[in-house]
Amino acid sequence: MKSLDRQSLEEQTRLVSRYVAGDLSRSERAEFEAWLIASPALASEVEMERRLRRGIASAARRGWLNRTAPRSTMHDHRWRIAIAASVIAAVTAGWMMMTPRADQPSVAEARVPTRHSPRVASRVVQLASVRGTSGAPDVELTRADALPSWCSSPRSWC
Amino acid sequence: MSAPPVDEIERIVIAALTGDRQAESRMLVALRPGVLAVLRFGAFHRWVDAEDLTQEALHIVVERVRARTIDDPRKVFAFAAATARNLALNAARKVLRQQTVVDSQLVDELAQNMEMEQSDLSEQDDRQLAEAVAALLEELPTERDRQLLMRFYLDGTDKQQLCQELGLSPKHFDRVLMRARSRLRTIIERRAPHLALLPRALSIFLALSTTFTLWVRHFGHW
Repeated sequence: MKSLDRQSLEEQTRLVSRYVAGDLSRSERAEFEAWLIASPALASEVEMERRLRRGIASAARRGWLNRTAPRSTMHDHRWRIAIAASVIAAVTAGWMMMTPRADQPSVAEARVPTRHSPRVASRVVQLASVRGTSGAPDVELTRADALPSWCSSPRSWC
Repeated sequence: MSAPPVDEIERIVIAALTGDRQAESRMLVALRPGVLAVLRFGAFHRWVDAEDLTQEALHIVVERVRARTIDDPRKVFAFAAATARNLALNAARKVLRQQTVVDSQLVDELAQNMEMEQSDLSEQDDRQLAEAVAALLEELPTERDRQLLMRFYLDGTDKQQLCQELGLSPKHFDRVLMRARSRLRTIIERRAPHLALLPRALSIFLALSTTFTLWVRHFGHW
């Protein structure tokens, strides 16, 4: 028998269920039983272990224990969390890829507020009546006239 | 009423070893639950009358202490345990010889492999115990602890396997069992105190009666 300290008693307390189940070796059992003599608290643990075994068996026999569909264990939780995280990551990545960025022209155009012009009745315009049938231009401009007044050189970026 | 701690019992036994008769009486009270536990829960409990053999074992222990052939209290504990075990083994052999089992090795094996539970509770007590355990399982903080207890005690699933499946360390596993026993004790003391207190009361009464018997035998009067 080891020294009678608290740590050794705790070690023996861990053996209670094995002792009651008859799973200890001869030497382990001899040491455990010496501790049983020395510690009424350990004897009480053994008594409760026996009561617990018997009580669970009795409750199960009476149909008081709900054993159907055991709820998820720690590993199930981990799997579920991993799957949920993967789905969220995939959805987020997909959304980011599908949604165009703000600096793209299509978005810029799309973001310009559209002014809805009043609806007018459609009419047919005869171009010949507006522009005439001759090939001569209505207005003639020289290159210098076409440039704005503040732009001195036609080569510079205006 | 709490059980005396180990070091206090050790001091009592040391005093008894010096010949202190009052300490001897207290030693009998202190050792009795342990001797009774060895006989009630040990390998041969199925064939023994634990109460009778406890008296006999304590008697042998007191005689040995008085003979002063033991000087270490730890040896007294080991001697008491060995005495209880040997008495139980002899009682088991006696019963099994009547059933034509004569090989002592076989007797030991039979004793080890026999069903552990005794039907020492009435139907009403059994029902109260089942209610207490059902309440205990209901009160457990996590479903994992509930599964652990049911699979360990009902299905007989191996501790190592359960630790692996439930993601527990062996120490954590032991803690769950210890907490369950502690909680069950509280529930039983509240709901059916006789299931928890009777052994203690009986223990004190029988220890006192043993002391009285030994005293009268030794001195011839009370």
